[in-house]
Amino acid sequence: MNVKQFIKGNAIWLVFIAMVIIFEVANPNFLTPRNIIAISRQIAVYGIASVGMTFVILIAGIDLSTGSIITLVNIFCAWLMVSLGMNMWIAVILAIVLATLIGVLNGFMVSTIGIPAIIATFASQTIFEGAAYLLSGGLPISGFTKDFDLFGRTAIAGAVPICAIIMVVCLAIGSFILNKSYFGRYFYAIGGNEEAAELSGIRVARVKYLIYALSGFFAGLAGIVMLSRTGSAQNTAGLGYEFDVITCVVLGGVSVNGGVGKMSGVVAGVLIIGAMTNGMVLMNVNTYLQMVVKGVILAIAVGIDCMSKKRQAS
Amino acid sequence: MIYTFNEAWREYYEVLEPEKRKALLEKLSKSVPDDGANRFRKKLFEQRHTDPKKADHMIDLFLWQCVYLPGLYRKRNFFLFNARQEMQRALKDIFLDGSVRMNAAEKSALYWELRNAAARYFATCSGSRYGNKFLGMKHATMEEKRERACEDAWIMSRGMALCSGLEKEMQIFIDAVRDEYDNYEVGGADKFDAYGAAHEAQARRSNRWDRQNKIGIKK
Repeated sequence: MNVKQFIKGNAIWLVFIAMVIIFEVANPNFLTPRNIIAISRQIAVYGIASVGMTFVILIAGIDLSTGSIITLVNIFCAWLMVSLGMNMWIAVILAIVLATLIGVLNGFMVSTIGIPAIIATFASQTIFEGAAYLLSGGLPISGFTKDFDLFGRTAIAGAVPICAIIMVVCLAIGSFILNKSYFGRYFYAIGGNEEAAELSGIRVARVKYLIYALSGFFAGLAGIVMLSRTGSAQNTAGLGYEFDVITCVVLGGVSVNGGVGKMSGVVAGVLIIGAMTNGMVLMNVNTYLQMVVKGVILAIAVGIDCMSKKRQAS
Repeated sequence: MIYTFNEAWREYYEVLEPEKRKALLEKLSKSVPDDGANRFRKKLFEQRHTDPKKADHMIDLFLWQCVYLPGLYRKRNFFLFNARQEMQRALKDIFLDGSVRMNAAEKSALYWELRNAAARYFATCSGSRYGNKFLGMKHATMEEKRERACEDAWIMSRGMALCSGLEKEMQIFIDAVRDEYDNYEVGGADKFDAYGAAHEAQARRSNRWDRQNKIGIKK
């Protein structure tokens, strides 16, 4: 393998290494153990939600409701625990079931009714953002039991956050589904040629239901981790998260045209976005400028995908 | 390789719907003199369309490989062992694992069956759901669909054979897809070859099986 091929095959990881070096030079606190643990906590939400989004984008779909699912799960779980005094585990399970059902609803709108994914999930985003406000009355909810710290604040031996372990497990499950299961093959096939996949015997509608349900499930789990980490349910908790998650996935090489992508690339995408967000905070970069940078990165990632497709075709 | 064609079976190989083909298979098996491949044709049909889990559900295993192999090719750099198993399974599904030991009549029957599957695949390539872009928001133009169909035809057959080091085993499939693509698209064979010339080196470079002899695929 020559140098050019190596760079081409590992570009995303080289970008990550370069970014780490730049941030470390700019701020020596970047690679301290404490900051690395902080980054691993921060990226957990992106990493978990990215698994579901990867499946959706692989079939050339999109899920814009991820952010509002995170918000609703925050509010709903906090409301169950604080206002109703429900057991933590039951509240967590109910919140994740709710998130999965929202995913099923998205699947119904996309697959059964035939609404374009971008419109259907945008409608969901608006509906459930409003629902979160209705449930909380627009006020934050806090006052959880200490046990709830388990998902976002607890670390094994003070060094390995539980939320990072949850993220790694989710990414491993995602990788297993894509590479070892029938469903993973179906995802690639539907993204490649949906009609032929249907003719070959795949129940495309059912698979789409499953994919959107999984997207909801992983967004819900990400919402629980976020709620535990912040210790307070806010109505703006998941605001804009869908775009960060889409950026992670597309940056990781999952094609916006569907049918192409792998979980290892998504891991790199999540690490880049996490390291960049943390690095910019350490460098005191203005929040609005951070948004500009993330937007530019998303545009570049999609642009590279489109250009490589054009070059391949020519 | 020259594949013989029994004119009596023309309709059977031209029709794309499995139900109609099943009826034709039953009718022609009785009315046309056996050319030595009748039993094999039935075996091929059953292998291709029988769902092992649900008898009343008709599948198309050969078409499935046409859909799945491009996906496998596009993620070929990942998870070598998994990809190796996948290729072995694919070859078994479309009878190519034992193709080198087949007689001429059986090879021809397999070739025409694979061409039928490829024709069914290409029939979907002008549909509204094919080749859509930007998260399904932008419909592909006819020109883009044609380019994509050429890419799919090459990578599902020759591309996959090159990067798995299974050119000999996949030869009938390569011939079937190339010939059917030529039938589907004006000057298709030339386009197929031109695409191949531009991408062959890249596919060969991806052939980790032959490079890493220790874990080379069983031939």
